[in-house]
Amino acid sequence: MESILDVKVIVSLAAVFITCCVLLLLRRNQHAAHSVSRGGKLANAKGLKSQKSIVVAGPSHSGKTTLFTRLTTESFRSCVLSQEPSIKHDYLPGHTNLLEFPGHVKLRYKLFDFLKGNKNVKGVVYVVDSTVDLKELTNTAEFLVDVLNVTENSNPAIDVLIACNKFDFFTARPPAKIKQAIEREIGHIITRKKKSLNEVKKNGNSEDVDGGDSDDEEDSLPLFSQVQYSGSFNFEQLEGTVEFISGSAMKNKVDGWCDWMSELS
Amino acid sequence: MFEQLAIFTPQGQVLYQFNCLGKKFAESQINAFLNQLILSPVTKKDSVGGKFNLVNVQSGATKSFCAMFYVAKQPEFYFVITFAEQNLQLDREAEETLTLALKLWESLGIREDINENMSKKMDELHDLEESLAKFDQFLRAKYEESIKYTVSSTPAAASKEQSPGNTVGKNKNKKVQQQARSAPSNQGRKWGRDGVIEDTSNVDMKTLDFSSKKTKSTSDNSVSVQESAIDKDSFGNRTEGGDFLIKQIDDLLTTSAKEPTTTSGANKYANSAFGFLQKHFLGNKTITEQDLVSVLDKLKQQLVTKNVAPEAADYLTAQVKRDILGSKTANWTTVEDTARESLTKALTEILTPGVSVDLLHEIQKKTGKTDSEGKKSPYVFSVVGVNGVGKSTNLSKLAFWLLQNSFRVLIVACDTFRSGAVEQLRVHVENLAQLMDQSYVRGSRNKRGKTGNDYVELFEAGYGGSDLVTKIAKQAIKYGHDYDFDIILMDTAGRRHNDPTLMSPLKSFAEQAKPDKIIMVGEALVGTDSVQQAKNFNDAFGKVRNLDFFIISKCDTVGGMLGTMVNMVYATGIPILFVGVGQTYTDLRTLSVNWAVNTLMS
Ligand SMILES: Nc1nc2c(ncn2[C@@H]2O[C@H](COP(=O)(O)OP(=O)(O)OP(=O)(O)O)[C@@H](O)[C@H]2O)c(=O)[nH]1
Ligand SMILES: Nc1nc2c(ncn2[C@@H]2O[C@H](COP(=O)(O)OP(=O)(O)OP(=O)(O)O)[C@@H](O)[C@H]2O)c(=O)[nH]1
Ligand SMILES: [Mg+2]
Ligand SMILES: [Mg+2]
Repeated sequence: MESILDVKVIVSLAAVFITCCVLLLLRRNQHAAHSVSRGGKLANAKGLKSQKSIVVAGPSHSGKTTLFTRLTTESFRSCVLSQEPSIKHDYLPGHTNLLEFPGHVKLRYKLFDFLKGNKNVKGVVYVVDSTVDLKELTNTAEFLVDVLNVTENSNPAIDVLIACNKFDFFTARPPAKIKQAIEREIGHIITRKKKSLNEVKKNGNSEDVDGGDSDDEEDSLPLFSQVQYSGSFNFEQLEGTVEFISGSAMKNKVDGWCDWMSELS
Repeated sequence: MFEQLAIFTPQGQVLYQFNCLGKKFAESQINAFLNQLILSPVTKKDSVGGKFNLVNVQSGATKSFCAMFYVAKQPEFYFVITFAEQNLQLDREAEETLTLALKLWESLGIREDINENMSKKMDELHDLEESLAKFDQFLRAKYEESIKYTVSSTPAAASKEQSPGNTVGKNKNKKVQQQARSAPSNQGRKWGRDGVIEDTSNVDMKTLDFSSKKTKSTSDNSVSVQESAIDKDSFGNRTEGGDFLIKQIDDLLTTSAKEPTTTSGANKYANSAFGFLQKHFLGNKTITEQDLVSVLDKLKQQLVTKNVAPEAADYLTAQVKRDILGSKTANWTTVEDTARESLTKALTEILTPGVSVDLLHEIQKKTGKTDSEGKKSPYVFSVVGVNGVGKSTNLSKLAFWLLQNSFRVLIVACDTFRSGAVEQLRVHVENLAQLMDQSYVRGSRNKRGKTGNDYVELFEAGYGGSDLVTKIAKQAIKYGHDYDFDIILMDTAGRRHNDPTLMSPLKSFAEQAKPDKIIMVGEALVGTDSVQQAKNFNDAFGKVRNLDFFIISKCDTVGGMLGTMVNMVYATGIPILFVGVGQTYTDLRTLSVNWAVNTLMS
């Protein structure tokens, strides 16, 4: 008698346990559906690369986040130094996202992580501060060289807009002057890069042969050879088009840039 | 009184800003703070009360100040409060204000609203004007009411005594209420379509004008007595007028004191079978604290086997946790893979130099200028480090590279301690001279009677104490200037980093020689001690001077255990520029962050 009772108890317990499990699973699924996804920090990073996008980049303090806010909310807000990219899904028709990346030197890897090997970048808006002294454009040009090395390596090459921001300032330089100065600066940078010490690739040690393999090819910089032939650099030598248009994110003079973006295929 | 309070997203969107001094909100101050946070996440940071962090910010652009901050999670917000200097009163005021701001933020439901906006992929601040205006009003009122007075207690008590008896300031009372009411509507403009911050600064002025008056009276009692007529009024006004408001705020804060429980629900199911599958195979799992315990421990162990100091490994895994806790794994991705990916990012970030250093450009800039006699000032490097790490060798490698770029190089023997140091350097100079010009005869002297030829030359003055070192350095700079050298490379004696008698002369050496770049050589072999080495050398030059960069030598001998690199950058925030990969003159390379990270992660 007792043993039969025991079996009954066990069976009923098991039944309860199984229903609990099923319920738990259901609840959990519901939960997943409701939980909030974070602003594209990590989980969607791969997903974002497979969607069409326009990328806003440029040195720190040039006004990228201000521009992003202007474009996505049609308003002005004060901004401080960005540490993470901003993302606007479906910014342009045809499911094209707008992404804006921090300009701080230490955070630029986020941009390059996104750009490298990305076939879905339709265009890069490179924001520069037009009030910067033409002789002080070295950093702006250095960063641009790194960006161009990626956009030119893409097939077909990605078009670049140099958005000369802060044109509302009376000290702003005209785009043509900025173009000239950046071209000269890039020429210098490329000659210097050729002279600088090579990067480490492998340890003498044989176990590390697979060290930094994937990036080796990307370091064969297309810009270098061009300057080698002609002796100087100008943007017309590039495969992608590079256009200079002035405007102001703060004072809502962004039509030229918007037109450029909407003309991207 | 503190200076500024700002709430912003990691993307850089300012959600709330408040300048307590009644000036225009200065983003540059917050930027200086953020810059320091990004450049040296570890150094100069203390935690306050276990909850807030404190950073002393010293930067060229702004005057030095303190920043206390808190980073809220999900979504991530920065709450930052800045104040002039660290002292008990200001620390406490900042802490209380920050606590208040956090509570209000939560009680007014702003966090949740923003969360909702983001989940709908809408603008974060959609429909938040009203809440933010309320936040502003409440924060100011409560700050005026209680926090400010806890700082200096006597006047606070006095003001409370005065207020009940004060019946005069009825109409002024209204004014204050009006101000309180009008503030939000003006404030709203900040977020409007064409709103510019200047619009709001007026309001700030008004409200804060009267607060600064009170500060005066609190700090100087005799003054407050003389000004009593007006001051008493405003004291009374403020308390009476604020009464209702303060009560409202207090009610709000007490009713919603409960902590938010948005994510805790998910934790319960973490151990279920389905959770297990998600964690290890399926992906699409919200990462919990529990998931991370074993994963992070594993990553830490891996880092330690690569020679990363436990302290630095802890920091890196904490970064990983910060990055992925509460986020969702991608489909078909395990928690461990997600964590590894995040660690890769953390390593990249720590090893990437915070400023772009283009040495050739800097040298050209300096040597391109000539003085009235048509002479240029040479660009000066000095090399420091503990004994035997490869200072002299890597200095010679640097010289070789510079010679190849047609600079004229003067090598200076500032190691006047170790016997044979000068002779060792002479051998290097002779080797280099021969590499530049094969007809060079070893042991010969050039026309100025020195070892070397037209390209490279040795400047030496025998052996002696630290006075001699500074003397040689100064003479060498003059000599280099007179004889048209582009570069001066100063070799220094190796010294133990924990011996103050050896370390202290470094400061005066740097002050006298004023090198353009101070390079520390560290050897990859050293391991955990590298944290302390780097710290001590960096601190040896005093408050106003830091190391400029590291050369990590002997990377060829450690078989991928590159932990020393991480340790030295972790300890100081100073970048690594070059790595030494062998004993010949061509064995110097620019650091490739990708290479280092891949090696560390393999
Ligand atoms: N006058 C003027 N100022 C602008 C304009 N655009 C941006 N600014 C200001 O420039 C500063 C920097 O703008 P941000 O948008 O934060 O710069 P950012 O490029 O995002 O900088 P990082 O996030 O550090 O990369 C802010 O103080 C802006 O208000 C503009 O068109 N005109
Ligand atoms: N394998 C290898 N050996 C190196 C490297 N750099 C330096 N060395 C060797 O390390 C030893 C010490 O180098 P030194 O340049 O004399 O070191 P130091 O720091 O000047 O020494 P002290 O002046 O005595 O403090 C020499 O045998 C060098 O050949 C490197 O990158 N790889
Ligand atoms: Mg930004
Ligand atoms: Mg030596």
